[in-house]
Amino acid sequence: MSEYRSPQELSEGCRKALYDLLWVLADSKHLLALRYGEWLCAPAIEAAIAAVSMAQDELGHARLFYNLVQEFQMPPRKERPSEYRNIEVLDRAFGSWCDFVAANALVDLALTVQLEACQNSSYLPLRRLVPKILQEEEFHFQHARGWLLRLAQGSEKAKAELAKALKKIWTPVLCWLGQPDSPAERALVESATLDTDSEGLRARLIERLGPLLAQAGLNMPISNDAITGEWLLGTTLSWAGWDEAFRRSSRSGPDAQTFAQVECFFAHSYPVT
Amino acid sequence: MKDASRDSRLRSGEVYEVFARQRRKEPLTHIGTVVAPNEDLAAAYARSIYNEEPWIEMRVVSRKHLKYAIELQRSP
Repeated sequence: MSEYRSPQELSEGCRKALYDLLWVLADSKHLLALRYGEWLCAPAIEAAIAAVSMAQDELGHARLFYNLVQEFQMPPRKERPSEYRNIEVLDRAFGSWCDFVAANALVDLALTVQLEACQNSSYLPLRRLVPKILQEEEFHFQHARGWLLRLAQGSEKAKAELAKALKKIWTPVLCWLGQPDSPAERALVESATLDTDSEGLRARLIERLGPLLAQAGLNMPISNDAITGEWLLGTTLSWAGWDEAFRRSSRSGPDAQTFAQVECFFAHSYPVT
Repeated sequence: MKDASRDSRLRSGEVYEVFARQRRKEPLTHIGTVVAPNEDLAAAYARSIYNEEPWIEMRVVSRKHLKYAIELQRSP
């Protein structure tokens, strides 16, 4: 199997697709860090500390991916919201602790699943980063699982609110894993940059979520095949207007308040000029 | 900033004892407690609260799972 040490060694199609994916990962992790960090007033001081600790992890991961982007030696991007490639559900601040837990469970896990597909990546600069990130993500999922169960087993009101928060981001998160059979996806899978396509990623996501949601008694559009034990997705994804390079259905980017923060952070922290 | 008052109902939980060690040749040592609603959160909380030392291993166990060998004695 071929291995690649620098962007220059990749085929043109693969180089573009990987470049796009790295931006998507960097911006999504950056925004996730920001959202986690906004919860110093979590329901318990312990939860606040855990949230900030996860923010610190995510920001560290974002920095690693921004560094990988740098290696492509592309012209700098314009710093405006429409250039941001973060997953859409992080465009705005979480409205409640349930939103936090839902994102912790779905968004963070989707990012993890995407990175798991890079564990044996033929692109070495990426492959090298993955083990430590996944180790930290293991803890994030533990946190998500703990809170998901806590809220689901709490009052009916808390459970209903959590279910609402999950449903709100369910489809966007599933779409975020990519449009099936796009040229970018084919280039990444054929070059073994990723070990599976978007349908494979979605299958892994619900394989992980299925048992947890069942344990929590949360009813989401997935079902467990009685014969094979496989988890099946009951959601039809719509790709109208989908931009695979940005993994977004709209290029609106983070809201103004959020953008002011990321822009300021960028100006001081990253060598992206 | 979100509502500054923490929701006391979400703080409920049980006491978990936290054990850790820094070197393989050392035994796991009791380093403190956390209050959490379940095992996953107890582990998550313990990891972020007791993170000042370079632990190589940390474990949490619900206090209720520690069997009395001598029951707590009345203070004299």
